[in-house]
Amino acid sequence: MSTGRALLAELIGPAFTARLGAGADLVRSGVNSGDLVRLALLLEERYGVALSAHDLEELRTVDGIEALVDRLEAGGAVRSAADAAPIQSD
Amino acid sequence: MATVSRALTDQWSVALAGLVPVPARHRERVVSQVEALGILGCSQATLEGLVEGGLPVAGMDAVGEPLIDFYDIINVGLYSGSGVSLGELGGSVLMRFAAEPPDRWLGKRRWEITCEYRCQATGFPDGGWTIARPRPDVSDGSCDEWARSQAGGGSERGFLAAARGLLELQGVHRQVVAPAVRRVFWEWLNDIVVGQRLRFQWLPPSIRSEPELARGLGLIECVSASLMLETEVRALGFEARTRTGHVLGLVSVEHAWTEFRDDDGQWKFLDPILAVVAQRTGRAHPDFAEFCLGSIANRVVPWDCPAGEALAVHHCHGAPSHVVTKVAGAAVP
Repeated sequence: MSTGRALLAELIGPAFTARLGAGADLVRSGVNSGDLVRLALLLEERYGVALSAHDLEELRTVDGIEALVDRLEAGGAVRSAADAAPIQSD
Repeated sequence: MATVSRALTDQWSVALAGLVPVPARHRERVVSQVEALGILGCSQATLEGLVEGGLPVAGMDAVGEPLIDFYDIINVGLYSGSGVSLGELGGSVLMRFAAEPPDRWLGKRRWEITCEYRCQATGFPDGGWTIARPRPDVSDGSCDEWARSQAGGGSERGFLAAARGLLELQGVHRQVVAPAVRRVFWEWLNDIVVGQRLRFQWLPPSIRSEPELARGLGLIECVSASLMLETEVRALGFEARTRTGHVLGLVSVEHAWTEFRDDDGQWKFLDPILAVVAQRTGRAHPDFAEFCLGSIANRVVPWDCPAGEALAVHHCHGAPSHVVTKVAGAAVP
């Protein structure tokens, strides 16, 4: 099993993961938003990076997950910036 | 406020002590112990400690385990600082864009949105649907496609309709020039974030659409905030309105904000709650709060629907029925 599918299987189970086509939309296939959020956090934890909003948008299909994993393994994700700054005012 | 159990760690004790529970008459949805554990991401012992410490129990299930209000569970998690509750994780993922450079919030982005509408009244398949349309044009975007379909037929889970849209959303930077409105906006943020005179919590629909009720409880979220702010800005002599929208991303969330016609004649966006949610993630870009004073990002869909009103209505058995709407958005290259 590929790395991306293996990560997904940790969250939604291997049987459900095996039924997902590579290009199928995960949400329409029944993966819930909580699982998608946990997948994002799992990727961040495993690869020690903070995913950008653009990275997160790739987590729509198994193919998208694989592409992101490939980039993360190649060191291509960038830790996102900055601690919180205080709220500004006039 | 609840009393605090000694069995809890400090972070959960603080979260429980600060919780303003949903009044019993406004309870609309309860969750089982298993569901609560999934939302909180905590141990069974912690959940038992929360209940022992005063987390209200809404009833008991068939096997004698407590049922708890969904919003109470979400809100305890939201303030737990555990980093694993669903409310915290969802906010962190939803607002990831707010940590990025401001130029990413601006300009055009294309999105495909899919919407599912489920009428909660079963047994009455007849009746038409009234479904709000997306209005990306209010921020200079466009709706290139919008198609509705009645998925037809009823089921034990209600009656379905669906819609799909191809939108071009435009992130626009608009600076508020009216000093009085700028002052009101920053007072709001200070009240919520610094002074904590209003506490941000998720609220059931029956509270969030009644701003005075929410204010009386010392609570705020996007719908009640937009309605209150509309009233305040109108009292200052400006034309103002509210709008329902969705913030798109890996998870898409329904949202609401206020719009007003500024001294320069241009409509501006007032969205203090989005600034609050971003701030709570601890990662917001320093310019994001100012951005929420006048501007709108290129992942926010405006709908033709005021705050607090349903995006869809099913006219069944002679009266509009409650409809649950789910919206998902995917960026289109």
